[in-house]
Amino acid sequence: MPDAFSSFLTPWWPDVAAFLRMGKHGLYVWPTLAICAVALAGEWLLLMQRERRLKSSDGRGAGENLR
Amino acid sequence: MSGEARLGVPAGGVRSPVELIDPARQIDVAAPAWAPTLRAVARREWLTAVRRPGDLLWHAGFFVMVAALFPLSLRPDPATLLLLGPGVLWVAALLAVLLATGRLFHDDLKSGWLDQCVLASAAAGVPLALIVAARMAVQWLLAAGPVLAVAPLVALQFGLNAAALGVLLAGLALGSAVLVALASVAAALAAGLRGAALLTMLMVLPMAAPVLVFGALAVHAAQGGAPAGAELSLLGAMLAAAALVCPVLGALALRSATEA
Amino acid sequence: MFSRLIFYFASPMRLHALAGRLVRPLLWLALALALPGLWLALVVTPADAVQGEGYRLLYVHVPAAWMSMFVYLLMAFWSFVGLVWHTRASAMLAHALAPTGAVFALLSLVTGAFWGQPMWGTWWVWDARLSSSLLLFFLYLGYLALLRANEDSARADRACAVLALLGAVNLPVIYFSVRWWNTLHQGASLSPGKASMAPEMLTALLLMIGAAWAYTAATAFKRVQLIIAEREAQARWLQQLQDDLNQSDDGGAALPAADLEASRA
Repeated sequence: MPDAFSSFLTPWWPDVAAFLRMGKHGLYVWPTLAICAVALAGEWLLLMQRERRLKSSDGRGAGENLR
Repeated sequence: MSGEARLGVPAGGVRSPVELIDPARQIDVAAPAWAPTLRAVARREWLTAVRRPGDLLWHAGFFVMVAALFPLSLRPDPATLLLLGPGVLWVAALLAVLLATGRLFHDDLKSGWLDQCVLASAAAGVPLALIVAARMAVQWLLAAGPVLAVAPLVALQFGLNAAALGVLLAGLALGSAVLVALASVAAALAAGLRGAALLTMLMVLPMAAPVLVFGALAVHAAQGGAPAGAELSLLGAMLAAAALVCPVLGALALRSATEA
Repeated sequence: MFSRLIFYFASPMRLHALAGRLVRPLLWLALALALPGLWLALVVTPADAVQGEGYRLLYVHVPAAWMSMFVYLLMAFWSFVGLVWHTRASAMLAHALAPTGAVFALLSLVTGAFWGQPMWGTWWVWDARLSSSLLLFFLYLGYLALLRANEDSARADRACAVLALLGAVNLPVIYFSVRWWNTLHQGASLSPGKASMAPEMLTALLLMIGAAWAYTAATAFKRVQLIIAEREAQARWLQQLQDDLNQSDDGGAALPAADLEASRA
């Protein structure tokens, strides 16, 4: 058990620089992960904006535009 | 209903919605029969189109123009043309048919014709889906007919041999029917909305891909001398499925459009 | 029992309450699955013998592709339920799922391209899976466009439901046709190595798929809450309008009816 556990803790990279380089594919891997993070975060940002718009327009009375 | 001049409205005014689509009073409401209603719908569609022959010419002309643009923008040597021919011809036909069907129900909704159709279908006991199917059939003749008529001339430009041309025409006949069915449903969904024509095309294009693929493959096969039976029968199967499903979905869409 | 559950939550109010309780736990679940998943994917798992380190994008590409297809099937399912049993809540659920599905479809295309370029030397190839994914993305766009173009919510629900069903039926046809086209043209097949995966790889993949699912559920529930609230606010607004009109009728000729009709249209 401790053997398997330690294998889950030991990284394959010798140092952080190798991690960032990702065996010369770093330029593809990290921007992609960034794009994914931005897309998902952006989706929630839009949802929050929509919620704020709904709450702010709810406060105003109905039919206000007609008066 | 408001008394404005409309095709086929009898002079003495109307007594029932059915009369508006059937001024010759061929439908006996007491004994509902499908054939006269459908014939009336088809006749009205045909007459409306035939009174504007420019539209029919436009369908053919658009097809010719799009097909001509491709060789102009690429190298027009025979080998390239042979390679491009099937794909270009099919894309051009697809666009022509979609453009023709894009606004199919849009004006009808605005003019109130669709409401009359729904009422008449209830009055005459004819399922709305059948009326939609009749319209699709006539629309196919009007949209695909000009394209099929002009296709041989354009195919000459791309150096298609006789066998390939035959397969092209057969494929176009089947494929355009599927496209008209799909586009009719999309047009029914988009009827009356802003940007209906564009919306229709956006909705149909992904679903038109299989038709395009099989049609172009069939012609490619015929060009190489191989039999195109498999692709053509797949197109036929798609047509059978579309002919069953699309009128029902179209009727559903039209009902919700008129209820809105 | 399942159908009774569906009918219980077919009331938008109950769905709103249920969604409200589920959003936060699901988000935490997504985080709880994503962190170990990413850890395994980026830190622990060894490099692929053939593809080197770049293959790690598989751990985002596969979940995105899976979710984009699964969400479309869910949309079709809820559309079917809504059309057959006339429940509005199921249509609203489908509307809530659509944007998330579209985002995942786009992400699967983007991650696939970034994965393909270092691996196979090309950003894009017209093989069966990529082409079908592109067409699936277009199907999502069509659904969203139809949703936006409709102002009447009842018509929007039914129209989008019809479109979702039509698209779902077409999806296998599309895939089959593109596969046929691809095999005949001997195109390059970009299937990720079908070799058996090491257990850490499989675990990482399953964790990431689970995280994507939890995220989708959370986002869909949040969005359905907003949709329900927006429609309720609009209904209240219209009701208020009606009440004002009735009141003004009683009190005198304050607002001519034609004015009201014109501004409501």
